[in-house]
Amino acid sequence: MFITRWGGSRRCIYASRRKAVQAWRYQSTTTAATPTISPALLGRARALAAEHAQLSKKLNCEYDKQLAKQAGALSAVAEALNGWEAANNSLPELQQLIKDPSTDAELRSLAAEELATTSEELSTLSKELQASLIPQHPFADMPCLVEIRPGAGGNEAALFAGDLLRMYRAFCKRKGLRANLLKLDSSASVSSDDQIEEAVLEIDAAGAYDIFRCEAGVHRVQRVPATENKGRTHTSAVSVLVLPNFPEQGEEEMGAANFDDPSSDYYIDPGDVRTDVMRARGAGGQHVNTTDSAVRLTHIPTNTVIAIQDSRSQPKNRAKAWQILRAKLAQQRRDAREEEMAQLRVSVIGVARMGRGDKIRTYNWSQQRVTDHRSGITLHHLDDILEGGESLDQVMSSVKEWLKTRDVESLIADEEAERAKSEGVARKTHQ
Amino acid sequence: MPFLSVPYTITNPSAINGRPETESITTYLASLISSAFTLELSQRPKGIEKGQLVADQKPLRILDLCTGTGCIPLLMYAILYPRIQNLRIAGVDISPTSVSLAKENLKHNIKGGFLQEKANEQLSFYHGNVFSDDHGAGWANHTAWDVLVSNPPYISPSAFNKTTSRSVRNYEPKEALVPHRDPIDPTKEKISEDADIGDAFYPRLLHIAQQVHAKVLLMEVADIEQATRVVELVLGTGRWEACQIWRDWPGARKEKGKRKKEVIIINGSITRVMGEGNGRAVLAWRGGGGKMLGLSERYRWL
Repeated sequence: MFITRWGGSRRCIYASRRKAVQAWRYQSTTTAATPTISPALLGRARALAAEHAQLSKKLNCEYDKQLAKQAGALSAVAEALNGWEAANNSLPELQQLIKDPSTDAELRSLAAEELATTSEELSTLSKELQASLIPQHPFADMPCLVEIRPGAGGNEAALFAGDLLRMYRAFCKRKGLRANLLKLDSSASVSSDDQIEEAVLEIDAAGAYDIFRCEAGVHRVQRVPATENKGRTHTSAVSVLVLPNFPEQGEEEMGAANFDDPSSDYYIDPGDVRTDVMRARGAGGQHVNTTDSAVRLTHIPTNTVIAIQDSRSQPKNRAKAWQILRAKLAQQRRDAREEEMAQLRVSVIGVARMGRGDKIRTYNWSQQRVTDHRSGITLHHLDDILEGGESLDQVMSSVKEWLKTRDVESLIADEEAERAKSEGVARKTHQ
Repeated sequence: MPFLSVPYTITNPSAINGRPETESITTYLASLISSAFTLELSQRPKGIEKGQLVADQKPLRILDLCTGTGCIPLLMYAILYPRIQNLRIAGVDISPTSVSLAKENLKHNIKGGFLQEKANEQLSFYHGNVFSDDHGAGWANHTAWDVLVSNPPYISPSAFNKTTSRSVRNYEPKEALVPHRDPIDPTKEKISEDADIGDAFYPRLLHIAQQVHAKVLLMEVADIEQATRVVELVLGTGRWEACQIWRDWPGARKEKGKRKKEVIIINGSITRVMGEGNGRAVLAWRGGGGKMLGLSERYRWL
């Protein structure tokens, strides 16, 4: 009975507080009081929405796969902006209604209620709009590789690396993601997956990179290790590396069908290639009976030149020249991509980041807690996390939230810098 | 002279060498037919087996007039056979030596493994005069031919003297290049306009196309002016759906800076000009011909 009364009073307090907020809003006449979005971001959203409108118009006239893809990527922004603007526009109207002394009391209270819900909506819509503006990570929809390596801490670190591997495998199992253990090097002394020198887990699901992106970094463990006989707490570190897993594109399996696929290494836009037929051509046909048939292809963007005169048949030479040009360009593209991958690895592994200090997350056994140092979340379900349970989801989603806000911040900074630059230029030209 | 996938065509004084331009337009025609056929197979209605459809297919009949070395039929056969096995191709020439040369070339290519053994039955060459109504035996027995191809003599007497290279004038048979003043009766010296002599074969080819119910007609020409005149002739009959003019390399993309779609308006109807190079051939179609070439759909957007 006591509990019920207490609950009732809490409701009462809540209701009165809400009334107070409404009362305050009665007096407010400016939109500044509602949660709003940075003008820089709003400008960007409007620009993107305009682009989307233009693309859709184009698509209505003529379907194009490339354009459709672009439009699809922008449609989220356009939709979010629409919703936000609708809500934002209705605010001043409602405020006007409330301010107007001729409005009767009933209508006024209705308007006030509407105003409260609309401004609430507006704050969620602003968040949505901000989120939609974050450009998708280029590798977000790729499968990924998770590499686990012990850092400082010797055997204990190797033991914890084994714990993390088990955690991620359990997580994948629960989520229904296919995980293959590509590589497992155990420490020399014990050959089990308790102590790990290096483990590589392949998560073969589209979008896995986006899921595991937040796991990359140094994981710190504080506990009394099994190897310790004096009962002291050790602190060790394990580094986790998350890499996008590029699909294999072996030369053997490349068929002619892939030549038309723009995402293929072998794709060449015929418009980029200039064909020269080496022959001083007069009337041709029956008028001339020489059969000079050399063909030269020039890929203009890369200035790659292929000249073939092996066969006396021109179409044959042409076909061969195309084949060689394709192979050559594909090789160039692959090299560039591997270079990029190497850069990516270096930037992630960075030797200085392997220490205990630069940790992203701490697993503390004595307190049974896990703290993520980026989002600041602390949970006390250590066992559930190590079993890859729902608590791990909670940690990961908090980190994703954190990444998102950081992305929005950098987006605003970028946008403002851009604007300042363009305004500076405009001023200069004006003078 | 090597023709794509048909490496051996030998020649003798009675027939001209196969030209790369002829090879190019023949290859393009064959690839159009072949890919349109593949497309049709892939779009067959549900429940119909592919093999069933292939078996039900009527034979594709191709007739080549003024065949010379036989290079056009040999090349068409080499390109089409892998996709369309039910083929029947014939070549006709006025010169008996040319006909035996073409037969020899066929044998050579089968022996060299470049053509299937079956080509012996499906490919044949006949001796005959295009201008005679008495076609005799052989090709005329099949009253219907789906595709009519021809690389007839098309050089006018003055052009022969002015524009042909010396090796052509000295070593190629003039009979294969320049039409007779009056092809129906070579002995009669009928005074005709120079250009009319160059064009002498085309009305006759149109007439034969009518007789054999051809759905697709491809005729090689000397240049864009002759192509325009031939298109006028074709449209004048009122029996053809549409025409295209092909340049030397009809499959090639237009060079940058040029319009993507080149058209000429002849007698008030729009004719597309395909590819790069000199005007080289006139294509006409009707009935199921557009479907056979995979063109009818594309033409709607012209």
